[in-house]
Amino acid sequence: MNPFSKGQGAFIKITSLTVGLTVGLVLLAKVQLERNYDRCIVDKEHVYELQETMQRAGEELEQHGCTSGGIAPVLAQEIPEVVTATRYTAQFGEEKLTLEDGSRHYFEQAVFADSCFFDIFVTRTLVGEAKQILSTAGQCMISRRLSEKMGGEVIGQTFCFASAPKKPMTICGVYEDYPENSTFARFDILMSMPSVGTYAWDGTENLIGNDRYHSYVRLRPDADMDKVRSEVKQLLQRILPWEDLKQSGYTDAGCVLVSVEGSRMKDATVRTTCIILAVVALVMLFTAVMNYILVVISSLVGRARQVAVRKVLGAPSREFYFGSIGEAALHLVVAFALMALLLYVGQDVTRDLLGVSVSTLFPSGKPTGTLLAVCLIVLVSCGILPGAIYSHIPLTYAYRLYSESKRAWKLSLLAFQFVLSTMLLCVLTTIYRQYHYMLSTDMGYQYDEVAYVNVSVLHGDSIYSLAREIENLPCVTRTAAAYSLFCERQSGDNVLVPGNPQELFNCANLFFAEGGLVETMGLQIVRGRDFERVNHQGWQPEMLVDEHFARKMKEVAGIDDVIGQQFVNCSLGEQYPLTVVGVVKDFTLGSLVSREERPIMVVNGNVFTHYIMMKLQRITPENLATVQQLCDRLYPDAELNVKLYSNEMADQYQETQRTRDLVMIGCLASLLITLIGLIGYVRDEVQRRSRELAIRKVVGATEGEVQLLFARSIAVIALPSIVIGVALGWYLSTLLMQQFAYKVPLLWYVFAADALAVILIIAAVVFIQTRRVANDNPVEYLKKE
Amino acid sequence: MIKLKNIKKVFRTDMVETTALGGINMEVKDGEFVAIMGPSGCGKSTLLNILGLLDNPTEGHYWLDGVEVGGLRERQRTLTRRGQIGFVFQSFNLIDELTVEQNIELPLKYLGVPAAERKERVTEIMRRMAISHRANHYPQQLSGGQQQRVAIARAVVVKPKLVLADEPTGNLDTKNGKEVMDLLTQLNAEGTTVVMVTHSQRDAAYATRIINLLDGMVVEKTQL
Repeated sequence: MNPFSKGQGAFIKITSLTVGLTVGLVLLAKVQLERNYDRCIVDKEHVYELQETMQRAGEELEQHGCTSGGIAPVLAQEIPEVVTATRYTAQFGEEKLTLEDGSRHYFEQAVFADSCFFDIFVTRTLVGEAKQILSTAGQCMISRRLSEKMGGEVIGQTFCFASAPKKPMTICGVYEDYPENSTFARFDILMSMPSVGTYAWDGTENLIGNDRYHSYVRLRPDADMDKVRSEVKQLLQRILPWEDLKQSGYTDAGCVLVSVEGSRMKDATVRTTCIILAVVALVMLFTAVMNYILVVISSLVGRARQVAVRKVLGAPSREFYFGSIGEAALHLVVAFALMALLLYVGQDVTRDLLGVSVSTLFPSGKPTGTLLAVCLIVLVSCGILPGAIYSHIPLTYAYRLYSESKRAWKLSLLAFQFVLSTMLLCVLTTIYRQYHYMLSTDMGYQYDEVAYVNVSVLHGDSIYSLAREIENLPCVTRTAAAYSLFCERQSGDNVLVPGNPQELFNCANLFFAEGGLVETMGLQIVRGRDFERVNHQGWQPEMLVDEHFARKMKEVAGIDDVIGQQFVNCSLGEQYPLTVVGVVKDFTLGSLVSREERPIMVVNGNVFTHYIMMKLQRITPENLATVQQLCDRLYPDAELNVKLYSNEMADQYQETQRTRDLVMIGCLASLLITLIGLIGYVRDEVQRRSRELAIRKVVGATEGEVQLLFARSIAVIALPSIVIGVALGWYLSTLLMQQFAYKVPLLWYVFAADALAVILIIAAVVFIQTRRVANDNPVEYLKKE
Repeated sequence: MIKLKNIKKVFRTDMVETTALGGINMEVKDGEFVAIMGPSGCGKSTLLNILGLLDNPTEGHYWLDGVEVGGLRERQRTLTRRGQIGFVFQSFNLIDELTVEQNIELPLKYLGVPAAERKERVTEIMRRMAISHRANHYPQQLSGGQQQRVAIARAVVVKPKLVLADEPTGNLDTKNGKEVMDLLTQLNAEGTTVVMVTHSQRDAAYATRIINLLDGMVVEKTQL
């Protein structure tokens, strides 16, 4: 049997296998990567992340992903079951450093890490003595990737960060890059923990507050967890400053140990995304295999006689099994070759879509068990079943035409494909609507015409004067320097009434922003007034709060009107009471993926600001270029980049966008394979039934009636399949929506439109495919008889 | 009923042009039984296909009941054919997946006859063709003679004015062939016009007129 002979659908089989395997295996590999996330943590079952817990009177227990700096070392010292402990905290990211020779190099992330970092997060040390380097102030280790970017000869070189230009750091070691599927993949610089004080307030020994440290411990393999938890509780009871905590309004504080094993999959977003991707992957593989079998069955008309003749001549059944398995293997090899080609050509697209490189998805020479299992299942399914069909072809077909329709088989396979394609289309529509919803939902502020420039590298008056220069451009309406972007995750800060040590509640602190922020970001003042701009570098002890802040203050402190009231926040301290001058209408910080529940406050000033926000007359390439040229002219060495706020906002939804794109590819590929199957089915049915159709035409059927005949036979299976597909799509969409705090409603008529779209596509294929036979002269087909 | 004037049919491929009918002029009156004879390849079946509106002539005029039908489009030909013309083929051309009853019912369905009336007419024609006992059988379960009786039943169930038969006894033995010819004669006697293509002189003898073709032309018309 020649696997590529005409009429055997080799092209269709290989095409659908290639598409199915490419999309299916890539998605499965991505899911596999997520499941193996942070493999660099050795002895994972005994490693725990420390998470701080705090409780205020009358409120629920809050749990944070970080702790204060001193918690991990204390646990290592005091709890016998703790073998080792480490902590790290991020400081710089996505900026450039400058070497002594003046060369600048971009890096992803720089963190402070203590000397035990590599004990838990294992990677090879290429140069240097890690423990010694990470214990010495002013020293750091860099990743191999950054070292190579710098030219390789890096040991002993000193550099400064763009945002801390006068604080040198010496490179004393190089470590192997962490894999892409790890928390540390973007870490380019590990600075020694004793260096913290050079760049920030040193809270490395703090037991409470400044909770910015990711802390981990490794326990003895035989550690009794209940005992460890009890010991941790007792230790904290002993060492935490309980009087201070009680004065601040806290009734409880502690630390929980969260196992890192499988922690990635405990994240609702990651878990749901993995489920969706796994479903799409299996749908793709299943559809491709079913299509393969469908084409085999459909091509029996052309192959039956050959098979029957071989059987008459004495060929045993196993010959047909071996033949069809061999044929499937050959098709599979060709499909894999094409898949490799596709992945090679589309490696950039794959990276954009999945956030990891193809080489990470499929490490050379290391096929995973899952991938091998999938290949074996595909091979067996595509080989065994056709073999069984061939071996059951009756000998009589050696001397008469093969007329068995096997329609039940073919329609069953098609039905599965319709179900799966409809399901994916429904999920795709939901993701698309959710993504659009997130980008178009009113956040309570207007950013369509807003751009910004990160000015972390500038200091003092430079930021103030640049903001004014930008504001003087005719294309700019208003500017304001600000500490943070609204779409970023904000720091928390506790609020107090002066003279009362009790911390009332935690709020999202935007720290400083200039007068002009309200207008620039389109906020609405509902009571009081806006900030008056400070006409120099400095700040005023006044703040704006949102309505939520005002409501909360009434609830917890009985203050009816916050305007004119003074409050203290923990960051500035009691010596700087802040007066509320205005209340803005509630707006949403962060993104719509997670719900920001905290009230909001911002202080009037341009100190410690990282951004200049600007509202343009219109966002046009010319206007952006005008602002960019101004920045380049005034600060040519600072490498300031003017960016669109809307792009920053879209970046918040990158994961959703990726999921949307992946499901879209899966959906389109699945539809394509299904259509290939449908086209093949209709073509073969038309061929098989051509005489019948001609007779029907002779006795009076019009072309429309002939086409309807086919449409009806497809509709019988398509309609129930589509209904099942919609139901499954609805279920998956509900699952998908669980990860979003703000959800687009699932509307029945959108799902109905999906179903209608699938029906129309199927109808179009059927009508186009049957048009020829319906229009042809029936005599032509009767002659063949 | 039928009038042909200078009917030509030319089959063209990229390489060859074949003239199947070279200018046929003929008439068939209501109630006639006409046999068309001639050697293989002389154009008999092509002429029958044109008469049955299964195909259009390349040139010439064809009037059916006084209406010019030579240049109709596919859909119009189908609608004209419905209920007016019945076909009987040498190879029966029954649909294997349908029972005898369903095969006979098919043209009535396409004609839009209500179900109750369809049932009545099918029962009646099966009784007449002596195949009632085979109503639920499939074509492959019948003998050749029975299959051709089913084909005739399907052709006449709509009470067509014209029945076209293409070598209706070609696949039958003498006994069954005679039965089929008797049925066609009986139909003709009841007023149905019959045009039959045949190689058989014996079958042609049932006709009232014989038209002989040679190389796509009428060479002789014999009144019996």
